[in-house]
Amino acid sequence: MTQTFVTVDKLSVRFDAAATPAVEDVSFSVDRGDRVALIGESGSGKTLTALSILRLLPGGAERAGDIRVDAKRVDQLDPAGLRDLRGKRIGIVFQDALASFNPVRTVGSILIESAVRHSGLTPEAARNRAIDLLDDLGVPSAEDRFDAYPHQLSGGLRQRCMIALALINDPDLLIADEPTTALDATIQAQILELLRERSRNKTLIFITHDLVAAARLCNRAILMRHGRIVETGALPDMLNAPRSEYGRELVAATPGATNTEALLDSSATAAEPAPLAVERISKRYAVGKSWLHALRSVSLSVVDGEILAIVGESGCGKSTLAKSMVGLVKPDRGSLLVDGVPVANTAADRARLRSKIQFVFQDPYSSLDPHWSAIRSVAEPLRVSGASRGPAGREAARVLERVGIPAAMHQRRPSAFSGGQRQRIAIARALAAQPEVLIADEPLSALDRTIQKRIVELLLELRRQSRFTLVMVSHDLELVGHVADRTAVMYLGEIVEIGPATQVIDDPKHRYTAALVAASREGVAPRGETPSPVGERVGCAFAGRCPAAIERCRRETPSLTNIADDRAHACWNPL
Amino acid sequence: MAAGSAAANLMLRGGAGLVLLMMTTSIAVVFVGGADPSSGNLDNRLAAPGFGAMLGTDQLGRDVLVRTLAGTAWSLCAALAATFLALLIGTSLALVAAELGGKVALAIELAVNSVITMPGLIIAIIVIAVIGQGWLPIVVTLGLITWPIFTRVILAETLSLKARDYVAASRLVGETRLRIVMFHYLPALRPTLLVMAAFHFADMLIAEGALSFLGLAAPLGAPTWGNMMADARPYVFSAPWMLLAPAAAIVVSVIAANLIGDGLASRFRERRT
Repeated sequence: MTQTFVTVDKLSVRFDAAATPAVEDVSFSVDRGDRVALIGESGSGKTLTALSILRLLPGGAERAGDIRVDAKRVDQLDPAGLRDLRGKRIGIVFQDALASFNPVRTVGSILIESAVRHSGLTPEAARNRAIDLLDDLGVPSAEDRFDAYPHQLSGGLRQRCMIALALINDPDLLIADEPTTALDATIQAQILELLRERSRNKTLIFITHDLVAAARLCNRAILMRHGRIVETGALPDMLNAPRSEYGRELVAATPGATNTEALLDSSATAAEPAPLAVERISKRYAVGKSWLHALRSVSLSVVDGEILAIVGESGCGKSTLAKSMVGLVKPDRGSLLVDGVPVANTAADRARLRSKIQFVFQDPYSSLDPHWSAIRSVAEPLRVSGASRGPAGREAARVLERVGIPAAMHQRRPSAFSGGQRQRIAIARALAAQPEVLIADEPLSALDRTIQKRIVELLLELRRQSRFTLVMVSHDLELVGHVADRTAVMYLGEIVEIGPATQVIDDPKHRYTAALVAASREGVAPRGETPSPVGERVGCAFAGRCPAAIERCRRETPSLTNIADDRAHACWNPL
Repeated sequence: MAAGSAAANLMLRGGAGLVLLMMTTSIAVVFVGGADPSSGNLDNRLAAPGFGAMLGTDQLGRDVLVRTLAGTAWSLCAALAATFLALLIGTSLALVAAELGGKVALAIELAVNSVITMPGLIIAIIVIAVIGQGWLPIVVTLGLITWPIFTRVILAETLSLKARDYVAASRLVGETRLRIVMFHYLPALRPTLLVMAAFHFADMLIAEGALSFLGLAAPLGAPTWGNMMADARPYVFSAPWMLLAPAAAIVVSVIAANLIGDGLASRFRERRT
């Protein structure tokens, strides 16, 4: 059932009777459930058009034309009707959230006020709704942020709060006015995704200069230039066949826009950069006069939400790789990227890294301070992030219970716990920091077989409860291979094969992987010794032990080559 | 081990008991009892131990027991304060060097080596020549000469702590350097610090006695063990009690400090295993 919701008829806005109008003769209508993009460069009148709908034009602007919402003329609304329109039926997300929030009021109080006034809630109910909403919108520890002033929040968080304010009274129409322009690229993508999700059963007017963003969110576009509409049409068709000159310019200016599929695809991947990635990192250690190459130009992206296993014999560089992913090892070359943005060696970047990534150490006997009680260790990340003793303690106790440490044991020191229990405590500490990615560096090798299995089950269970991306480093292909989504196999500082875990194990391409599988299944050790990682070498690292080495293997070093979208190996003579 | 721990307890109790006993008698006799270590009876000079003066009198007829007890307060407090000062300077610099590393650590190591190279006695003579004698100058001098031993030991131990996974884990969750030092390093260093302090205290007692003996610490005539021994030098054979009383006091207190140190050390060792 389509029903006209907003009609704009012959709208003109001018600031000075003599000057050319800022908006001229603009007419369009928006049906309920419609998702319309108002696209244009700055000064094209798109924002003024949207503000007119709410009668929010700046002072000195003269408006002509007819705007109706639900068939009622906006310019004839009484103050109560106007308040209802602005506060309840239409939510607006402004470009600059910092400028749009009252700086002397906490974010929470503004949200509560709106919900109390427009939805008639009691302050308590309003508070609960606001916190739920912030939570829903991905504001971490919403309850704590609730009493923050706008300037205390990051740009991304402020914009989320702004969206919360727009959504708190469950409006029918959401107007988003360049909501991502003031944000950096990765946050932009997150906010767009959020808007897409949250406006699903609403009418949306999305104001932007970004064709790609428009194509992701909307099904219809109105192109504006110099205050006039130059083209209207459906998305994404407009990308393929723009009719107006401006439309063609815009498409031409958007890289890769000639192919709709590619554009939408690339926008999808650009929207969610890998939460964690390393690019061509190398690390070597001096051994006498020679160098031990722990990592040789390794690149690896962690896919959001996956379980990634990094497998290899001891000394293959897997721990070095894992530690460089959290900044514990500084690579000599290459970069570490969080959400697609390189991590520099600054306090701010280190903070960004550790807010996202946590680490479980290999040896639970050294990863807990022997003088600290279990609960104190787990509360540490909470205390660091500013929680006071009481709440931090309660939260730590909750996390400890989740990993299976009963309350009666919380006050004990590590010496009172077994290896498996200590590893549980170490996992609890990492999880208390609420990471998006948890890297576990051989969390099992110090433990016996049955405990290993239980720790793996615990990690999987925790992951089901609070979704995080898990990177597991292990020498045991069989153990992690079956729980992982993807497996990367490392040999002497390089990734020799990577792909979906089951494929890698059941149908290995690299002969080293095959040897590992055989070793774990049949106890057949790969023949030959692992060559020394010290010094330079030519050719494939595995050539000396490989049953199928050909001449080329000894001359040229194979690099990781894709054989499918999600599979790659580094072998000249694959299985 | 029960036997070991019993021996450790015995040493700890014995040492602490001796120190306590010396302090309380000193306070009781001199400060509460009002016995004056400086008042002498010139008619009763160099009297042998007996009923009038239990440990005899010196060349000015002053009671040797009263002077020894008065010296207890001076010497123990000076040694204690000097130990504390050395520990404070040495440990702080060690923690800073370990945590910051780089040029700061190099500078601190240079300072350690410089101070260790310099002959302590000469520094003491210079310091006292400049700022004069007295309780505070001796404390400051001893502290300034002896802190490097703390830096050496604590730096090495802190560097090994710094490499522990739990310290890395703390850094990963965003713990500040200061909090890592306060809450991870210091509790782990406590056993070492306590044991070192006990032995250092014994060293400081001897050093203070030596400096006083040379006339570099206490003002002339002040009742300190070192001064008393210096006074006794001409009368070693005619009035040996003048030397034996302060010497015995030094020996007993040094033994007490060593007992405490040994006791602490073996107790911590047991706890660790």
